[in-house]
Amino acid sequence: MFAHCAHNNVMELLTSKRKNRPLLSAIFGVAVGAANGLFGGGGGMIAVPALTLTGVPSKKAHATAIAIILPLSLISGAVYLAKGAADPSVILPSCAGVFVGGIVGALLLKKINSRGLSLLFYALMIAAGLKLSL
Amino acid sequence: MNTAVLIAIGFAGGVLGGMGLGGGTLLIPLMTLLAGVPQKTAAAVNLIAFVPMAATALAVHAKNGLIQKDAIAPTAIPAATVCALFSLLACNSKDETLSRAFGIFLVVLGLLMLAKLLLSALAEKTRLAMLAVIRRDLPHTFAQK
Repeated sequence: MFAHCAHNNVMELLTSKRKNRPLLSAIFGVAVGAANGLFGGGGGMIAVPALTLTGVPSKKAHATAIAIILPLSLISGAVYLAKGAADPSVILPSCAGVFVGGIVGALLLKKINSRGLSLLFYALMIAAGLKLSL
Repeated sequence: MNTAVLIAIGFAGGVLGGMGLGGGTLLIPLMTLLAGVPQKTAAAVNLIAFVPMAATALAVHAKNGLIQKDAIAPTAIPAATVCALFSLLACNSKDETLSRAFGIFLVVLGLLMLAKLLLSALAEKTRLAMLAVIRRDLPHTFAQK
């Protein structure tokens, strides 16, 4: 039980007394919006810790982050499509793949060691980032 | 660009997203690095594909009472404003520039997340060690069970 809780709850433990900080929310909001607008992704990975830092429990933070990112993706998605980043021969097959993959991922979720997977995921993120930026 | 490759990459990104790992952060570099998709097109794919999945997830979470409504506006309002401006900026920038900036963003975010993961693993180990000490030195605390 303890092993299960600690992974997501360490931020809550560290910050459990800091609630309702509008300035902090606004600063994180700017970062979330900038990532979503400029890069088309990554906002959610900022929004979750931003919410836990302002006192939202971990599980609720993951759910509430989606409520924040969804309208942003509608805005930026519309801008990207309208401004010419819309190649149907790329967008249609990729989105179809993402959609099917998303269902599979949600079904797999309960069967996998999340910490090992997170570690691998972050290592891949860093490797991809280095490849892109160097 | 190869349709089968695009479907496969989309599928991989979708699995990660469905597992709640932040699929877009890997979907975009997979598309640009492996399939040669321009950064802005990859970004558009991530944004568009996210909408139906997020809407479904949101409906389930709302039903389970997991949405903290008063926490949405303070982050979402500044985020939406900046998001609109920055997506216009992105559409007027070169794919190569955006891709490089995104790479730096991924490295920084990845290192931060890694640090958080290691910190939580350390906290868990400390907590278990402290519990073991309490159990050993204060056995009467647990005797009732």
